[in-house]
Amino acid sequence: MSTSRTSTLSKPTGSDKISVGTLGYVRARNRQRAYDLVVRELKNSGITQAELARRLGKGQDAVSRLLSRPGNWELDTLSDLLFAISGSVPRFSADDPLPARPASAATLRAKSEPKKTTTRTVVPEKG
Amino acid sequence: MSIVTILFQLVNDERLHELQSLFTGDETARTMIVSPDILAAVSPPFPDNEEGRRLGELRAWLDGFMEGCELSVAEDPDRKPPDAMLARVHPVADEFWSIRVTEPEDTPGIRAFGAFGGKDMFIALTWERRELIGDQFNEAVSEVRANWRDYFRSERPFSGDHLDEYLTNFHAV
Repeated sequence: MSTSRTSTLSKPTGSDKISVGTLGYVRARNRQRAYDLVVRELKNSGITQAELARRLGKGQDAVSRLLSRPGNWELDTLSDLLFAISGSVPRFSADDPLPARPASAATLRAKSEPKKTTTRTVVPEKG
Repeated sequence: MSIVTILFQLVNDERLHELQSLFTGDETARTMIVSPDILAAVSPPFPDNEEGRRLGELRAWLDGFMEGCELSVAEDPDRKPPDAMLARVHPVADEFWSIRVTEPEDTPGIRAFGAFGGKDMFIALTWERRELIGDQFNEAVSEVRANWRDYFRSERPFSGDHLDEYLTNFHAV
């Protein structure tokens, strides 16, 4: 199936203000990745939410709420969840997948152009 | 004719569009097909205002889907938790679903409606701000049903017996 050309994000440049919408997109993306990381880790660990709650000294309802959707977790919350689930800690790296050119030019990128590799923003590091 | 065969034609004719993740392009774990209306709404640049923030959230949801992120899925339209990310809508037998964008928290969010074309392939045809749907939710579902018929005629959405026939990497809520 052919893939439709779509506009792309481009890197911030100079002193140009980044739109609220773009920041909203990036924030939501990172919330999702953090959520995905924690829920995958929980599934892989085999422990229950009840056990996780006990490890964290929290009520099960509170943990269930945390894990119900990608939320705006504090960094401490992400840290606590990962460590409590599997003794893991987040490992951070900056990913740089965006083209450094205006979106109008980026839309013309041919599908045959070599694709940039991407890495997950945060991955668990076994402690 | 299968849904996928029809989809090929619709995408080739640019009546529907296969979305690319803004960060990973077409290297995705799942497939998201969208209507021109949705494509226009979620294509950058996102406006520098509240509306842009909400549309950025919708785009992030769609990109997360394509990139195989974890989804919380509600199968019972009457018993879905408020935080469910994807939920069936009535009538269940018709196989239409609601994409539930519940962020930013200080807004009512956005709903997009569509159906599965196969495992890990969603076809999103309509969207609306939740506050504009109000209590006319059934009308919003009727709209997506009518849109589906326009595109797919008598072909019905994908149907499975269990959620793992629709999706990978999900948990039922």
